[in-house]
Amino acid sequence: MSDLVAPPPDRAGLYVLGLLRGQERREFEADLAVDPVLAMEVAAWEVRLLPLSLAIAPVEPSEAVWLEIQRILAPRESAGSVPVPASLRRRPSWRESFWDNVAVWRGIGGIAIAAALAIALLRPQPVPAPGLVAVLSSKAGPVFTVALRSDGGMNIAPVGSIKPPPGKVWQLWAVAGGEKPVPVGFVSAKPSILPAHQIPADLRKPNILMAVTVEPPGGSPTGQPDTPIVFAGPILPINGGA
Amino acid sequence: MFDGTGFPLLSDSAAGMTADDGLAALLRRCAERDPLALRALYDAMAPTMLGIALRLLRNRPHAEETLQDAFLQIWRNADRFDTQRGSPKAWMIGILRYRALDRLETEKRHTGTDDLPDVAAELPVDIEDSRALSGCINELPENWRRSVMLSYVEGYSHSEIADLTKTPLGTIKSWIVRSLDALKKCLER
Repeated sequence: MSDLVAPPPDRAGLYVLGLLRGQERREFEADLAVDPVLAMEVAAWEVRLLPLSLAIAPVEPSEAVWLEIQRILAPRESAGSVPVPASLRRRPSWRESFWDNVAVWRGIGGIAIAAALAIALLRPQPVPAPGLVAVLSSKAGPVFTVALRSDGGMNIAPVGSIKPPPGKVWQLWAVAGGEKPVPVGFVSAKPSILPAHQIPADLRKPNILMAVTVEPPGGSPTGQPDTPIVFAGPILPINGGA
Repeated sequence: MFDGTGFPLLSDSAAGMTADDGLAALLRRCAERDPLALRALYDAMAPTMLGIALRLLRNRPHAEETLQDAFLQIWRNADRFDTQRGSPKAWMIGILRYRALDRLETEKRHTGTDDLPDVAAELPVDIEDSRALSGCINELPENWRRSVMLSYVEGYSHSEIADLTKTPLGTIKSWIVRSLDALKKCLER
């Protein structure tokens, strides 16, 4: 900081700060389009400064924004009206109880998460809290996406078309490490919106496990899950850094 | 099972998955023209992106239009996102920021009559998982730090910052250039 001689201007850094304007910016962007090294410098600055952007308080957009995006993309690219891709329609073999097999859970990768997220929330719905999501997966892949809203409610969307066993329901639990599971509602074969305050505030955070068990209608009579987990996934922050 | 003891997944929270992996895969699906992936990206990122746009533009209708433009561009250019190149969040937020800067340039929002935002009161910003940047930003002299925040977060140009802070333009330019140099060196330490 005590350098007497000013360093040469870092154009990539100035660009990412937003300080190249007008002609200067247009010239830089023309260079950027043909200079992969410059593009890498810009990307590096974008990543360096990203935490400053992520620290800004999120604001929920009005519904009109998504509706307008949808309108502009329709009908050619109508968002939300395209059938679920065949690759996502796999039926997980949820007869298996695999809770004891931790390796299974470790093996469920980012692609599965993304595939499941891709199914989430096709209709205008309350926008989720800034980036808290859980993807409930079985051994065969994602089964549900859960987007947590800031009011403690949840938007839940199934992936594919599986159903609970006849005469049974899927009960949803939130589990903190070492604590008893807390029942937070039910999920079904259809998209559902669970009301506000379904999840206690102290369980509305990353790394809380969301899990589903098969229970009799009305839920587990004991108030605790009596059967193995069939799907589960941790709550993940979207904005929590790479 | 649910015996309250040992949830190995919890200590291995993402089981190898990160939110970035999920976003990157969603961008790949957008590139394959899967509109459901766009909706999922929107649900995940739109509130964060609107917050950023509002800080830059300070006008909700303009910020929401910019958010909309950014998502249309993300949809159209999803195939240009290169996982090797970096973070999907940085890429998406970059698109939003450049659209917001376009708007700032055409509308000449900052007239020099604005009050100086109290950025100092917001520093150090709440930067989770980025103690490195937070530490490096805080190592900068206050005037430099304020200039960086006024440009990156609030969207002011060199000359607007000079007006707002009643500092010669050349001095502001020098502070910014030195700040970038110092931040880069600090983050590489």
